[in-house]
Amino acid sequence: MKTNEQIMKDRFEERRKKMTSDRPWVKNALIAYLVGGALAVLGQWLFNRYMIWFDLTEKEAVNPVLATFIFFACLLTGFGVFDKWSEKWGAGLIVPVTGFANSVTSSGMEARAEGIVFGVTGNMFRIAGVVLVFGVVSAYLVSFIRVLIETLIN
Amino acid sequence: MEYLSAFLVGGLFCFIGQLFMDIGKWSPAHIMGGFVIGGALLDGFHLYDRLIDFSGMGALLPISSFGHFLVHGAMTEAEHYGFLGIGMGIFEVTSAGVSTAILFGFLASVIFKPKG
Repeated sequence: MKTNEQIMKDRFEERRKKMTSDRPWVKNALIAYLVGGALAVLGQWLFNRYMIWFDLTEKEAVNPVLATFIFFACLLTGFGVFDKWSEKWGAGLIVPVTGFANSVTSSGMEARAEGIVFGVTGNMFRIAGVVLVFGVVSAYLVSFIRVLIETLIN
Repeated sequence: MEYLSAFLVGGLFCFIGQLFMDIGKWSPAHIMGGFVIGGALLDGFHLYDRLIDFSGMGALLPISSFGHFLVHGAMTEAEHYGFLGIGMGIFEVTSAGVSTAILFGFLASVIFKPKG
């Protein structure tokens, strides 16, 4: 026969397990889907506008759109808004280029106290360096293999 | 219609990223690095181009397009100069994105004070 206290304890334990094991990853992933999708729609709209406003071709209009997103991500990181949003929306803001811009700006801002030379400029690519290094190394290997195959075939 | 496909594909990228974050416990740096490598590999087989044809900004906005553009720039120069062209052209297309990020990132970190 369990005492009342024991029953309460068991129930508490049961609930605690339920809350900790049932992580809200489905909800987080859906939020990320919605945010990322919304950003892509916004980008697509800007892309179509830029082609009309500045008379650009499809290839030329890509970079201005990305630059716009990078600019606003840097600005919002500066105001401290971006970090609050990315806590809520997770990968929805990190996977698009906004995440790259945010990592550059936030590591620069964190190191601002150490001065401009060794602080800001030295630390700006602390996280974004991952993107650059892995990107260049993997792109180099992929292009190298492709050129090798193409020269072997011809 | 192009907005719908942009939404679906752009969302899907973020969905996958969030799954890696929650279940795989990856940090944002790992996710960005992984996506860039994935984009470069997919472009090696011309798959990323098809994704862009289908979804436009949905595939261009995620960071994986950075890897795709690196391979693209390298391959366009490699057509003329062979192996030397890889190094010459690797930043050709992405130059705008990287330089904007450096410029505005620098200006923002000089102007703004970190909070908290």
